[in-house]
Order: sequence, then C-alpha cells, then structure tokens
Amino acid sequence: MPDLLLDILLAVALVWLGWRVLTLSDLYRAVILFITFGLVMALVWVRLEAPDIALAEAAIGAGLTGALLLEAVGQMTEQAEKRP
Amino acid sequence: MATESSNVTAVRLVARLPARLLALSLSGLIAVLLVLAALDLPDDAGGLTTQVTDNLDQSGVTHPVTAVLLNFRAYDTWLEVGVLILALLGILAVQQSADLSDTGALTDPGPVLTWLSRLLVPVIFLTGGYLLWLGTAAPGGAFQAGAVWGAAGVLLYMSGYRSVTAMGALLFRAAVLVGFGIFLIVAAGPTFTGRQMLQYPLDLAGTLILLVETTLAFSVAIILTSLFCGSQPRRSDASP
Repeated sequence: MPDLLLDILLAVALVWLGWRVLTLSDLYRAVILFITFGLVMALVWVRLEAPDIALAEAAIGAGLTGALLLEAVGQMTEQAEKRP
Repeated sequence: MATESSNVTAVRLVARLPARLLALSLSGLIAVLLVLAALDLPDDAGGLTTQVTDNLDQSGVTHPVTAVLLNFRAYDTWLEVGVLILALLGILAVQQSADLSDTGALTDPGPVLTWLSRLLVPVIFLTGGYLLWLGTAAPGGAFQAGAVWGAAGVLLYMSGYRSVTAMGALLFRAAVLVGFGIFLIVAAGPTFTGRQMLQYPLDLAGTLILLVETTLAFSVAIILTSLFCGSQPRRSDASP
C-alpha cells in the first residue's frame, strides 16, 4: 500500500511538473521546474527497478541539461537587457 | 546570471477554445490508451533475462546490465559514443574552430561558488571513479561515471577555471577520440586472431571491459563538458 501511494504521488508530480514547465511564462522558473522534473524522473526510474538509467537521468537530464538551459536563459536575459 | 525573475518570458500562442478542447481530449484519449496498455502487460517479464543470466559467467562481469551494455551489445554502446562525437562536431562547426581554446572562462563566479566547487569537485571525481569501478558488479558503469565527471567539468568551468577550454587542438582531439579509438581496437582486434568482431577472449573479457569502460568514461566526460563550454560566447566575439 505505501508503494502504491508513492507511485501515485510520483506520477501526479510528474504530470503536474510537466504541465507547469510548459505553461509558465517566466522561463527562469520553468527551467528550475525542468530540473526538478529530471530529479522526479530519476526517482521513477528507481521505482521501475532500473537504477543505471536513474543514475544517468539524474546526471545528464537534471544536471547537464539543466545547466545548459539556465545558461541559455541567462544569455537571453543579457541580450534582452542590451536592447534599448 | 539571471536575476530572480528574468524579464524573458515565453511567447504564448493562444488558440480558440474548440481547438484547445480538441487537443485536450485527444491527449486524454492517448493517455487513457497508454494506461490500459500498461495495465494489460503480462506479469511475467519474459524477454531475454534467462539467456543473459545463463551466459553471465562468460561475460567477464557480474552485473547483467553491464554485461549486456559492454559485452553482448557492445556494438550499440560503441556507436553511441560515435553519436556523442558527432554532436560535439556540430558544436565545433558552429564555433568554427577545431577546439574550444577561444572560449573564455566565466568571470566573477562569486565566493560561494568558488568555495563550493573546491569542496565538491574532488568528491565528484571520487564518486565518478567509484561508479566506474562498481559497474562490473552493481549499477554504475562507463556512461554514469562519464556523466558525473562531465558535471564536475561544468562546475569547474562555472567557477572561473578554464577546464576543457584550456586544451590545444591536438590534446582536445586525442581526449575526445580515445574512448572510441580504444573501443575500435578492442572490437577489431579479435578479427586478426581468427575470431568475430567484438568477440572478446574469455579469460581477458573482464580486463578488456574495464579498459574500454575507463577510456569511454573519460571521453564521455570531456565531450559532455565541451557540449556545455562550447555554447559560451567566444573571446574574439566580445565587443570592446
């Protein structure tokens, strides 16, 4: 029973995070939620008994892609501020 | 870096209400069909788990996932590294240079980031090495270790050190290609002694897998860090 509750909680969190990432208008917050989405996805892989994929998802999906997207938003902000 | 709430907002294309209802209902229908299909899966996993377990002692490692990735299906892992190299070639083509030495380091990292990176990078390095070694018996392996080491490289770059951008063209190419190259030698070597490609000799299988994993993790780390550093503006582009 606790396993089922955890699975339902993870599924609802995934769907809600995905919805918010797509509909937030502030891109900085959307990237932060995308990183959180990657971490919850890593937990889901653990629940599906695939720890190797969970390790790779946490490192690449949440870490590297999150850093890349944050850099992109930062550069977009700089360019937006440079424009008069 | 971006401030608390950036003034970069997404452009919203708002369709009419009937179109949105149609999209929502179609997505809901696909979701319901996927859930029904998932519930309909047989309880017995089936697949090739029995064959993998039967041949595990001949593969040189004791973890079934690593045995599949680096022995039974080593061809796929080898070509995945080739795909990563192709992605790096795309970045280099956009930068129009053979290496990343023209990319400047980030300035003004701040005291917290500097202190944190000095604390974390050795631990990340150790964790990646541990994951690499552990891959033979437990979850871990080359790509996981390479991704963790790549994160260390990105953290170093964000803290003001040049990391992979300090390498000249020759060293950069050697570091990127060593994983693919060693795998090529290990894959093509058996063909010279009368075996098939990628047919490791049984007594050397564990050693060869460890050698291939180490060079693979190193190359993957260099490539992943370069994918991040290569998207930074070049020093020669900076306006005076």
